[in-house]
Amino acid sequence: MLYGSDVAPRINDYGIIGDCRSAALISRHGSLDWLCWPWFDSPSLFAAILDTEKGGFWRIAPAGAYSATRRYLPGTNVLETEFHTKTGKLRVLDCMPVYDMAYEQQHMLPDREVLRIVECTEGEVQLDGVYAPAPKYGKCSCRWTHSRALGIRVEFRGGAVWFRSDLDWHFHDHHALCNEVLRAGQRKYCSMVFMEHGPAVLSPLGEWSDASLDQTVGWWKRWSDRCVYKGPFREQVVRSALALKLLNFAPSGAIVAAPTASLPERVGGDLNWDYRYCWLRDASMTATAFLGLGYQDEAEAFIEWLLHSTHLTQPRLSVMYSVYGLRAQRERELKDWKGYHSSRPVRVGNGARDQLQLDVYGEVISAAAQLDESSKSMDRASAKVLRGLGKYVEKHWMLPDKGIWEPRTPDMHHTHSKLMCWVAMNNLLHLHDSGLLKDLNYDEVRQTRDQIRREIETRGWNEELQTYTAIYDGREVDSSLLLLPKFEFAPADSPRLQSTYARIREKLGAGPGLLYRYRDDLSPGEGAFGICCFWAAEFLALGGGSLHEAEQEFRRVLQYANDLGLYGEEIDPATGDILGNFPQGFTHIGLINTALTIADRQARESKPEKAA
Amino acid sequence: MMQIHWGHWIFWGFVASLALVITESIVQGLGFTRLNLPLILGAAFTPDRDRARALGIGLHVLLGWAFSFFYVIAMNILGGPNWYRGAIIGLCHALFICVIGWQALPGIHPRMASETHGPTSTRMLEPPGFMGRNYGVSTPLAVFMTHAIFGAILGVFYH
Repeated sequence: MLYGSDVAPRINDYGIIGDCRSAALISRHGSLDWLCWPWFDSPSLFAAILDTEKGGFWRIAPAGAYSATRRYLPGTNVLETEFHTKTGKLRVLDCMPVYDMAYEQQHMLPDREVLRIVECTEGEVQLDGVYAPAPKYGKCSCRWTHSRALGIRVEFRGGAVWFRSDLDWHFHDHHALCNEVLRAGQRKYCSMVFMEHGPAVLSPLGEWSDASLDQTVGWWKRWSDRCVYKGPFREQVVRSALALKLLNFAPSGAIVAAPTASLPERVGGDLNWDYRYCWLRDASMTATAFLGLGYQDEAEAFIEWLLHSTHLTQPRLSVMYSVYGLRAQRERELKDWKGYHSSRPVRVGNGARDQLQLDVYGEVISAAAQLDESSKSMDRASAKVLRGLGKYVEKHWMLPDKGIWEPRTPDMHHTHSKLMCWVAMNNLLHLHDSGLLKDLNYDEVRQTRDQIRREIETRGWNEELQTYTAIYDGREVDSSLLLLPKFEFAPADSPRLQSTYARIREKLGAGPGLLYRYRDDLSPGEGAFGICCFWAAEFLALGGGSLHEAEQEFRRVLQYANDLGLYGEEIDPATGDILGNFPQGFTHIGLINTALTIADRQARESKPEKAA
Repeated sequence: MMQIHWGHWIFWGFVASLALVITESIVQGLGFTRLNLPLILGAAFTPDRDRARALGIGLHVLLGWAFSFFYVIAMNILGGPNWYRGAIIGLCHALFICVIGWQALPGIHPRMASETHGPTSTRMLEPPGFMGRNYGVSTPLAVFMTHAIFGAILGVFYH
């Protein structure tokens, strides 16, 4: 077997590189096991993480036994892996080059490129290199050609990838191998470029590649230096911002939930979904994160995308869109694929695209309101969109829906969905009060808002159990109830929220710092939910506990990141392993927003001391 | 003596040239070929690919317009314009491009990599290879088809 193993490494063992248009996962063993080109939701070129035989991969590692350490170059998304062998040390730098505008205008650059620089830093190391792409989920026929001067070309319907290297790669049928021995001081280059519509731009390697690396490092450093956050846990916050930026599709401003598909929420199970789309559910928290860190441009681009790319379906909003505002692809299964550690079926496309989720309206309106309040202005088109969304909520808030967790069960009245409808109405009223949103039917919106509140306080509250509940007239709790104070529905230190928090801890606690999102027959084996763990810490920081308690809780959650500071969707309570699609924007957004709330609380608590 | 109807040539030459550029874009957009003549033409003047594409579209239309003059002359020599004479001239033109033009291009294009020496810091554009097949196996077919359409349009409308 070319890959050397039946199964891919643990999700924790992966790092991510990207160019704000697409992203690749590279394992601790130097294997690029996931990449979809040209866009996040395009068919895969490498997908060994889901099937080591059919998926395709590109490995650069030492032959024989080794240990590996890795990190990101400070302030960047350039991944550095150091391999230690008996005979020497090997350093591999991986990136997808990004350039500033002036450099782009002066140089002819590839549309997409993965650049891997291999350097022997001590002794000598024999390489174990395998280049085995499998375009379009390994399902299309492709034509391989090899030219000594130009490199290896793999051509298929819809594009071509060129692979060039100054290492000695041996061309075989549908793969290439490299067993060259590198000695201390030797530095070699591998470049893979893609072109969909047009002749490829081939990388000349050597100094050119070093210049590309310098440009990339500089670009990311400049970007991370723009972060204005000076509060506690800055290192983790900046890493989360960098991870989030990798999920940002720069041409449109959209942000995908994760760059991967079908990494399981339960290893060996069937909770395997495609997350390479933009969920409107994440909108408000994403805006908070970007605005809080000082990334005004990203927040503006994202909200512009939210308001204008969704035009085709407005006033109804879909749950998710592609990076260009199109419907997510129809869900289908790659039937003959093994799946990550036998987690089948492998699904691409997403069937949740047709669900009704009322919470998205509150998310979108809240996100737009944050930006407008920050910039103190609102253009006519945005105002029209917000009024349209408001009217839709007025007419539909009383309907049952799928709710934030998108279960594939009948619609129900989810308390969180009603909360977000209340948030929608409340934000419209605030925008009107601040003079930004004119021509609002104020009285009707206020009546609707108050009616939703009354309903949540009666049907979303269980008097016997003294807790808010996941669904109306229910008995179960759900971690999304922790958001009630965040959206200013009620103060975190109110008796109702204090008892709800205690109930959530009791019923959904999964270990130190861990919370399940919910518990029912559908979820056995599912991990603790990353963002819910951060919501708990944020609840405490919002007044649900002391600052010290909030910081302690936050620290507990931080320990579940992998060695690169990355989080997936879920955490296995038994092993601490990452589960689900990776890295997950939602979880990183949770980290950033919790840190912002803790910093805010710190600042508020230190003011009286200073005054004293 | 051969008579050129200048007004007709200017108008229908322009229309045929536009049709050629549009047809090529459609064929390329549908994934039959990665041949992108506007990019190749524009890249001779600027490394910025966005600008190269925009500039190349204009250049391609102008070149097509100029070439239509030779089509008109050829059709007159062959007995007068009609669609199949235009199409045959288009096919001959395409054959010349595929067999001679693509082979010569890396030698004259300032940003095209050489098949023999590979890319350099200034010459990075993928060369077309024999018959343009580096840009996809269907490239020769696309070139023949689009040029036949170009010639046929001229043959039908130029009088």
